[in-house]
Amino acid sequence: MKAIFQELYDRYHRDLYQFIYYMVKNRSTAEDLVQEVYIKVLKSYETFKGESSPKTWMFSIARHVTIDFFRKEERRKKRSADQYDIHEHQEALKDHQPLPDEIAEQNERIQLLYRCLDDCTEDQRLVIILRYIQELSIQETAEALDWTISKVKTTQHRAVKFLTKRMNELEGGIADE
Amino acid sequence: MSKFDEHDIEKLLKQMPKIEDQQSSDMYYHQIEEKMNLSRKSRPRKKKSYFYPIVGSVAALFLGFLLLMQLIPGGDRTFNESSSNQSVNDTDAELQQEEMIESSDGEEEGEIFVEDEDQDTGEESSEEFAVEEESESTSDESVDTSGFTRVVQQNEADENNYVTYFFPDQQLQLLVPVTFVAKTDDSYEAFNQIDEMIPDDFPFQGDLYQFLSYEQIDEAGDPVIQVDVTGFEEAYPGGSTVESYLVQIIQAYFGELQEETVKIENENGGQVSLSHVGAMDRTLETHQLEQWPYKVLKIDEESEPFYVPTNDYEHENLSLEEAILSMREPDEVTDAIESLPEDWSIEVQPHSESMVELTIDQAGELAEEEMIIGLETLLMTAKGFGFDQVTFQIEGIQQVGPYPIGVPVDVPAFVNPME
Repeated sequence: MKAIFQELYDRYHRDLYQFIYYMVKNRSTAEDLVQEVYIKVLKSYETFKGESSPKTWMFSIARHVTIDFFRKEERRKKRSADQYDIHEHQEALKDHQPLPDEIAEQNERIQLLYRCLDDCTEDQRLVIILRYIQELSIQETAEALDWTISKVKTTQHRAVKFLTKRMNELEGGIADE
Repeated sequence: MSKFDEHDIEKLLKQMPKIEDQQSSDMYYHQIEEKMNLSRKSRPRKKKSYFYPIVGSVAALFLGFLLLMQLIPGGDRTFNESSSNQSVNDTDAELQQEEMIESSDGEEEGEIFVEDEDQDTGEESSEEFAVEEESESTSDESVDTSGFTRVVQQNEADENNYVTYFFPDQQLQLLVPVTFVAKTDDSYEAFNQIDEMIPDDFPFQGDLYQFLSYEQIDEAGDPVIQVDVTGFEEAYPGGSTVESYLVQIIQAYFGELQEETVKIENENGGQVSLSHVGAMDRTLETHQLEQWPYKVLKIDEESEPFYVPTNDYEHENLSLEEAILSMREPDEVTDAIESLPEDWSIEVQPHSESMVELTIDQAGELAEEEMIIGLETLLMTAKGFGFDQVTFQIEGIQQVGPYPIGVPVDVPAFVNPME
């Protein structure tokens, strides 16, 4: 098992971690989810038939794991929503989440864009990360997300449009201040 | 003037930095190995002996419930018409609605409605859609049974055990809810009976259910679903989308039954592993098709339309207003078409957590069936957003098919009933 793990790690870990990190934006959560992906992959490695590339297969599993995480989080938040104003709390959390060093070292525009990713829908973020940060092709993205090619294109188009609008709004806001 | 255009954003996205993982591969391997060993050791064994006492208890409770139902006087409409989880909210909502109508100073339509309701003895018969004689609220029995409808209300559902199944469409792009009258009172057992109910000319992919069977409620209270992985993979070799739908129909069916999780196992009682989804956790979270705009799927000109929740984009954060707006457009990716005319302008005004008022403009030029489709898909969409009741306001119209205008209408209990 170690050999299989090592091979997967050497070939795909960096991409896998990037993908999950940009989805959840938290190092320790990303590490936990990456582990979960490896466990699922190792458990079903024998049955992997190679009908898609191992990379898109791993992204596909990573996507399931991440979406599952968001669902659980949402449920957890709903449960605790009675105890305090959840929206206020979420906003506070968003505002105080420190930027990772890699982003903090970048210019303001990149930092702003990084923050704007939070405002995208899950689907939009999935596509943006796979297409632009992971540089997957449309075909690979469609395979990883189990979507049609046209859905990838539509979502990508809408995501970029949304981010453009959001960035202009925020830049306008900053300029006004 | 805008500072960024889409090209700038694409360029910036490509410049996003790589985030370094601070854990080593050894650390990962160590933790993974530990977790995998742990899960092997702690894997629960099937204890079928627990099953029968639980089933016995459930059956006894159910019989008790049936007896209790018989003891309740038949004329008690308020009980029949309130679903178990909404009666309190409904009462609150109705009270609030009454207060609102009586006391609001700017709500002219509410006031007009109250007057209309009091003197509604046929004077509106010239109105295109003023069909019914009286329409005090949905809690009476003034339902137009002869008319077109594609939903089932809770009060109609009391006599039968309606169960909603979910089917992928032929293009494998949509998950279509279709409601059947189950042959058993047990909605869980009904999961195994769909093959007997699907007609020969059924327009959706009903075959997937043959690879799924509900087995039991386990000791944790979760339904256990067995997946015939071998049979499925023989029938659908290499179908990644169909694999996803196999999982989704379990999630949607049991989500509809308010189960938060189900347990899944393969035909040998082991872990389910599908070639694209990968090895799946034994516990599968369910989901309901919430906060998705309902559109229309037409199989052919003769068939009745199906209302179908669509999630082609931005569904995660759609507001009810946005969902309603999207209902005026055909789906870009799937075969679903718009359920509302594009010139309908709809104002959304929530009155409480359980009731929303929808004021529709430009609604006078349609055939009644189109109006009903519009209202019913609006009701289904509002239901997905957690509303139990919708008050429609349409100037000059008091009734559309079975739906009174101006008073709270319960959201349907079931959608797309199949004979």
